[in-house]
Amino acid sequence: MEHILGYFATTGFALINLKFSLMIIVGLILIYLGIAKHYEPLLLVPIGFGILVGNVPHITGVNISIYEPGSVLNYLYFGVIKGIYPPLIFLGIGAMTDFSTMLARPLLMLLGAAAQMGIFLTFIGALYIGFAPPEAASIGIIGGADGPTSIFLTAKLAPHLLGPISIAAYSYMALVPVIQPPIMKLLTTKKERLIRMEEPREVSKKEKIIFPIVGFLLTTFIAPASLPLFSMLFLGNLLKEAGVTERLAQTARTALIDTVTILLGLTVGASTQADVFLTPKSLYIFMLGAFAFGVATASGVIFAKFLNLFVKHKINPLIGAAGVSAVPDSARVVQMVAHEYDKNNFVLMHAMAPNVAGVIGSAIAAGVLWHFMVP
Amino acid sequence: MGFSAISNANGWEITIVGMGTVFFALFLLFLILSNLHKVIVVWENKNNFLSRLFKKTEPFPGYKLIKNEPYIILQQAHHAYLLYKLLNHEFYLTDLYDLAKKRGVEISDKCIKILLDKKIIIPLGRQKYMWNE
Repeated sequence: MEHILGYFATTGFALINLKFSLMIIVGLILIYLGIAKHYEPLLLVPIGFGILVGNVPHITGVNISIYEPGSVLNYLYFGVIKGIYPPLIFLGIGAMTDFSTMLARPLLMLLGAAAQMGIFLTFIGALYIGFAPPEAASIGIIGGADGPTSIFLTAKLAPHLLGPISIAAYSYMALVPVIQPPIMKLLTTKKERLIRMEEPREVSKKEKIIFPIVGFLLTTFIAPASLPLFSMLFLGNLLKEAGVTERLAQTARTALIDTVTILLGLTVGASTQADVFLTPKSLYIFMLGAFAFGVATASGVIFAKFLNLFVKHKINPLIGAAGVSAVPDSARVVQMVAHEYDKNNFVLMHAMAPNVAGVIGSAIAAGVLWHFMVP
Repeated sequence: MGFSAISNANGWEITIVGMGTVFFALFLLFLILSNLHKVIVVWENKNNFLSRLFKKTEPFPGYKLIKNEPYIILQQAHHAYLLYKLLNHEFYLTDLYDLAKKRGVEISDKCIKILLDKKIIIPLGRQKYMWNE
């Protein structure tokens, strides 16, 4: 009987408390949102399950927890804390992204730059609240709406905040269809939402091949700290466009990115152990994350309106919202909103230009922040 | 905490430099990409462009045949060619002389003779001529 009671004392039923229960509910909610509501299921399902994994109560010292050196989860988590997974995800993103619309009308890239305002204003806000500069920089990067970049920078600057920042980044990315439309509608008139943009020109194969090389050299010369992200992003794109490395591109955009996404999602989720995650800081991070997304969306839309003062072929300012780099969700949201007002207005391809530019912009911003935070 | 925390952490400077860098990088990329397709067109037609760039322009067809003649003859031949462009493809010499007179330029018989000798101007019969282009 004593053995039975002793064993029972080590089970989850005996060790469970309110904090673990709460985190398990959060995990279940993310799984529900992913499966039932189709909000970023490829991310929310592994992350949600990871939260369950990380919050199963257990005794310490048996090498189970993600934070215990030598545990299986700890080995898998190595890819997060050393910043290995995000560049690999960028490789896959590069291999699946078509930059044609951006190459066809490069002016729209500037919308991707404007939307990065969310990062820096949130950085300021986090400093104001009292976060240390490296923490503030990691929180600010949530405004880039780029999960891998957020994880990459946070792993370097504030690894103790990896859990809440990555959950906030991915949750808000999943909630783009909920967060962005009210801001877009608030900042535009009906007439502006009805603007039809001219067809983009056809982009040659040579342009597509030259772009990743030129893009890589230029961006890394300007922001060398972003080298791991840009090298993989542009290599992936070169593999896709070269035409002679289709096998590698195919692997990068399917098997590789899927494997890394599973490992990243699971370990990031598992890193949200209740005692680490449920702190007042996490609450602030979630609030600032929402603020970051809002500012990023608004900045993109307002900048599109500003550009319209100077350009001959008008830009539908809704596409400014796609400057946040949640690819391709924010571009889809733009299409959805434009479609509400004009069933025959197809702005998706135009919105993809600031969308992919946003990926580049947020990675540059991450490089700049990293540069300033490294002592 | 507060504005002093922002200042102490150089928050304003980092924000300005950060946004500036993002804009600068994407603006530079925008400039390059805006012109990339034009550069590709030039590259693909580089032989044409180079030959046009370095080709010695001739003032009129057949210039090489009389390039050792005195300058005045070359100048008159050039004028003759410019006037010929205003006439019909087949022209009368009298029309050429008349037009030269109207325009106040001189075209000597000697010049016309040289152009005929070198077959730069070709007689077509019935007193009509054409420039051998």
